[in-house]
Amino acid sequence: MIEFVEVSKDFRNFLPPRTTHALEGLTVTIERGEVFGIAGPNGAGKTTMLALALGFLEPTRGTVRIDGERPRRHVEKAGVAYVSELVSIPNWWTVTGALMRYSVLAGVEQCDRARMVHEAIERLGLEEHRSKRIKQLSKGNLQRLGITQALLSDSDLVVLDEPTHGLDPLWTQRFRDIVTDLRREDRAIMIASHNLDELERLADRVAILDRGSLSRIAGSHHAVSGEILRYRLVLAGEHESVEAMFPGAQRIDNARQVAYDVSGDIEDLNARLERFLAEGGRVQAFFPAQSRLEVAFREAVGEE
Amino acid sequence: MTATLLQYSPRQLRDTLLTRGAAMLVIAVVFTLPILMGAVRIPPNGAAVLLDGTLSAMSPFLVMVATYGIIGEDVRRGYFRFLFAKPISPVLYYAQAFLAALIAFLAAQLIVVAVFALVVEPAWPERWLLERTVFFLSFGSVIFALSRVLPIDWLIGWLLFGVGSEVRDWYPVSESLRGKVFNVVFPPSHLMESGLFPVEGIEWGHVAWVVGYAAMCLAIGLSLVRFVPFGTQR
Repeated sequence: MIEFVEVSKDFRNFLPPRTTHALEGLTVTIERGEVFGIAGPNGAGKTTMLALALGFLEPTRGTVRIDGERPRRHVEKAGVAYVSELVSIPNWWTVTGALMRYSVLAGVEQCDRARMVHEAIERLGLEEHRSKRIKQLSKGNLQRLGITQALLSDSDLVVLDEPTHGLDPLWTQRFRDIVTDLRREDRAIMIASHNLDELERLADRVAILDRGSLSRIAGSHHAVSGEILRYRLVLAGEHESVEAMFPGAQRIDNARQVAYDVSGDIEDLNARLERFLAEGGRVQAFFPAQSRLEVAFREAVGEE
Repeated sequence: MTATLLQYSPRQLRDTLLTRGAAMLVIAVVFTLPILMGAVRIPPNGAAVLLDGTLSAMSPFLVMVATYGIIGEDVRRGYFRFLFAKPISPVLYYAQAFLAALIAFLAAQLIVVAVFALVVEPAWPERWLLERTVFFLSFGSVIFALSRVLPIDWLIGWLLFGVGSEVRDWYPVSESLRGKVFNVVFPPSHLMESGLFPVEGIEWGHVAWVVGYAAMCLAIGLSLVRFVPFGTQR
């Protein structure tokens, strides 16, 4: 659906003369039905990549196409459900007023507008703020309003730039549910985020950008047989055979619980866990100590 | 797309009136108050002339307030992000915004006409609508074109009109090629200073020049909207 072919974007400054290479030779295709994550340190080019997809920027070199069209043309024809990192809405508008306006622009039929706005307000928990002016909203509520306006359109492309920026943990979780609901066979979803955990939960693939270049694309997040990863094993009580059962297990000293970091292939670890439980060991939790995406990210940006 | 924007037009007009209306009313009051307070003597049968002069004098300020930052504010404040992620054409959106500014400008002048009628005497300047509309187009279109690329569009627009007058004095059209070029490039302030619609007869050639210049500025402004990407800053 979205194709970036050898895309580079330079920003030129005249005083003082300086050129910043925001993106360099990016080639990637995002398909319908996919949730595509974009990760990277600050200044890696995540927002630039999304701005190119929306046609808010033109590439310096290379091409960006959405269904074979220039992004701007596609957006003007079909629209995009877009949440920007910084939610900018005129501060004298009210919450309901802003959503009614965006619904008009999104092409929602007049007879459906009030209902759709009402439902979107309820879904994002903005009922008590519906009459407030934008300037009266907290950062988190403003971010929720940004998400709400994106939900008003039934676009086949969803572009989310740091969508959980400023959201509390409860709404961050609800936002994940919303993205899960947005998944559709004919829809592509792009999410740029600093939050690797969020991307790991939501995205099918994650592009890791570093200083404007695509370092790698991390794929499926299911552990693959043969891959050595680090997991945390939390026990319900002390057990003498842990270290014998899991060679190389490292006790986590500062934890207020009995916990170990163990490494290994998932098949092997499952077999060991089975034996451990059979010998009377009691496991409280077993989860990745470091996500695969985090590992990929650290490798991609050159950090151990 | 056009139907969507037409449905949005009342909201655009409301925004223009809400954000700029107060400043426009202040300008109208400043220019009208001396007359309403009786400080200006009204010549016999001269109410319409006095009103016309007052409306002309306040017009540049009203146009400035109605059009400054008409495109640039959306870009600088980032409002464009949500607006133009929707299936609408930014070109049509801003053409409509310019029309909303024209309506706000005419409405402010009509309020002055109404107050004048109530407090002084009913009067209606000849060719008011035509004259004021052409004036709005000529000055407003320059600010509109500048608005996409410059932050202080109103000041530079004003300067262009002022500099245009001076440059025409320094380089007369008939004397050099440079004069001819400057005559085309700078806003037609010389035609507007002498009045486009004198009672003794309208110079339609001058009107066409002014309207043509305005159309060119509008086309430049809309082309900048079309071809200069909104997210030019990092």
